[in-house]
Amino acid sequence: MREDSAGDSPAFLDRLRAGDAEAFEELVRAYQHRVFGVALRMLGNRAEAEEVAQEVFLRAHRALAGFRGEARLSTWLYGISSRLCLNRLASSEWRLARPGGDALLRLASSAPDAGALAERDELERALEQAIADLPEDRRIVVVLRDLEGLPYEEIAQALDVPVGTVRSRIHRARLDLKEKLERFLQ
Amino acid sequence: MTCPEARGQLSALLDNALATDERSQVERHLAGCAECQRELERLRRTVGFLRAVEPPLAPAGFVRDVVRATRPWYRRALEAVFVPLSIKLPLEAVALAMVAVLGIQIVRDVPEVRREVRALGEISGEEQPVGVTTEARGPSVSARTDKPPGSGAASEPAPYRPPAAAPPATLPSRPGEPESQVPAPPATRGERSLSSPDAEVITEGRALFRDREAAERDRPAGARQDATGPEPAPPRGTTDDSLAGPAPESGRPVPSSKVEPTGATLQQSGDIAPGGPHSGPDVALRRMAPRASPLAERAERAIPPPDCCVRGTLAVTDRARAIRQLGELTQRLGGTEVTRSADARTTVVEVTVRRDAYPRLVEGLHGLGRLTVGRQAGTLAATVRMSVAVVE
Repeated sequence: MREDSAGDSPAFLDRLRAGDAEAFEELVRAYQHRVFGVALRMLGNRAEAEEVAQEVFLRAHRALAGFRGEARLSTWLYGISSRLCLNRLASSEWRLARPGGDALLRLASSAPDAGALAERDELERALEQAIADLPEDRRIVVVLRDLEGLPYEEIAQALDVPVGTVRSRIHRARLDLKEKLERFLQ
Repeated sequence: MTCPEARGQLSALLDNALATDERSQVERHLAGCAECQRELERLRRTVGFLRAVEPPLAPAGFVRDVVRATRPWYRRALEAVFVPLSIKLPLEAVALAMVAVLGIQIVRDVPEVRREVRALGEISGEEQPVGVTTEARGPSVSARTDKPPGSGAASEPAPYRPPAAAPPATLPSRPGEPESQVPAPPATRGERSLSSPDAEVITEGRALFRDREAAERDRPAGARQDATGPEPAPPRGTTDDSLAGPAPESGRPVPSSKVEPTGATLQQSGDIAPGGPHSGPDVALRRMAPRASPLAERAERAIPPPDCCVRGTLAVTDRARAIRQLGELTQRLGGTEVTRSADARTTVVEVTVRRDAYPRLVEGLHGLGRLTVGRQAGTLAATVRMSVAVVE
C-alpha cells in the first residue's frame, strides 16, 4: 500500500474500521518508518522509540473503528505519535532515568555543504545534539516539518494547535538550530 | 517593513507558507537589505541540513510484532507454541516421541509402575490380545477337554475356570484337534506384552507342554484329571508373585466365580504345569512373568518357596531385629512360623495366620520396614500362609 494513494481511500478505511487484519498490517507496513522516525528523533533512543511506535499502532488499532476520516490517516498517526512522545518526555519516569541517546543521525551524502567525511561526521553530531537540545514543543514541529515534511496545516491538526503557533514555533526552532550550527554556515 | 519584521517571516518564506501580499512585502525588504539576505541564506542552509537527515528505518520484525500484539492473548499463546510451524512442529514431535519412549521405558523397567499400569488395565476391564494370550495356554485347555470324564485326581492342579464375564475366544486349533471355544482369560499381572522374546518363550512353553501332555496321555486314565471333575487340586504358585492361596481342603472346589483375574491366571499357570513349579512349562512361564525388582529377585534366589501363597519382601535396616519382631508379631496374631531359611543377605520366614489376622500381619510388617507384597489375592484361604523375605 502506498500511504498517499490507497492509504486514505474509502475502501481501505472501511476495511480498517471493520477490523480487517490484513488492512491493519498494510497500514503498519506503510507507516512504520515514519512513526518510528518521529519517536526516534523526539526521544533519541531506539528502544524507547520502538516501544512508543508500537504503542502508537496499538492505540490506532483500538481507535480505528471510530476513525471518522476528518484528518488524513498519516496526520492522525502523527498526532498519536506526537502526543505519546510528548507524554513520555514529560513523565517523571523519563525525567528521573533519561535513557542515553543512540539515535545516530545520518546525513545523506548529497547533503549541502556536508563537505569532507570528517566534517560531515562532526556536522551530524552537532545537528543531532542541536535537535536534542530544542525545547520539546519546538522539537516536535521541526521534526514534523523538516524531517517528515508535513505542511503547517497538518502539523497544526496533528498537534491540535493553531497554524500561527506552528509557524512561530518552527521559526524559533530554526533560529535555535542556526545558532547552534553557526560554524557550519560560514 | 523593518528588518525584525522581515526576519520573523523568513522561515515561512522558505516554506512557501506566506500569503501573496506578505510574501511581496518580505521580498521587497530583502531586495534592499543585504543583512537580511545573509540571514535568509543561513536559515536556508540550516533547513537544508535538517532535510538531508536520512529517515530512520523501523527495526526488523516491527510489523510482525505490532500485528501479533493486536491479536487476542489466546492466539498469541498458540503462536508462541506453534509458530513457526516448520521449526516448532518437528521439534515438538521429536520431544513428544522422546517422552513417549521414556514413558514406555519406565513402564517396562520399573516393576512398581508396570504393576500399577496392569492393575489399572484390569480395573478398566482391559484385556490382553486374545489370540496370543490364549495361544500360550491353548494346549493345556485343549488337553483337558480331551480327557475322559471321571478321570480326575485330587493331586492334579485345578483346571482354569475363567470369570463368567470373559468373552469367548477361538483358540487356534492344532493339527488333528478340533477348534475349541474357551473363554478368553483376562489380562493378568503375570502376563507380558507379546514382544518377540515373549513369543519365543510361549513357543518353548508350548513345546514343553506338548511333551508333558503326551506323557499325560500315556498315564492310566484314573491318574488323569477330569477337566470338569469336582475336585480341583490346589493351584500351584508358579509365578514369582503368586498369591493363589493355600491348597483348599479335599472336596472343597475352588469357587471359580470368586476367583480374581490374578488368581485365575495363577491357577491357569498351575494348570499348564501340572508337574509342579519346576517342570518345563512352568519354567517357561516363569520366564514370561514380569521381572521382579532386584530386591525381590535376590530374595527369590535365596530360597524359592514353592507352596507359599503370599510372598512379600521386607526391606529393613536391622535384619535380626526385624525377624525377631516378625516372630513376635506372628505369635501375637495367633499364627505360626512354619519355616525359616537364610543366606548371607536374605532371611525367608514363612508364617501362617488366620485369614482375619492377615491384614494385621501386613500392617505390622509395614511397621517393621518397607514391605512389598508381590500380589494381593482376591480370596484368601482360612489360613493364610505368607513368605516374607527379609533383606537389609
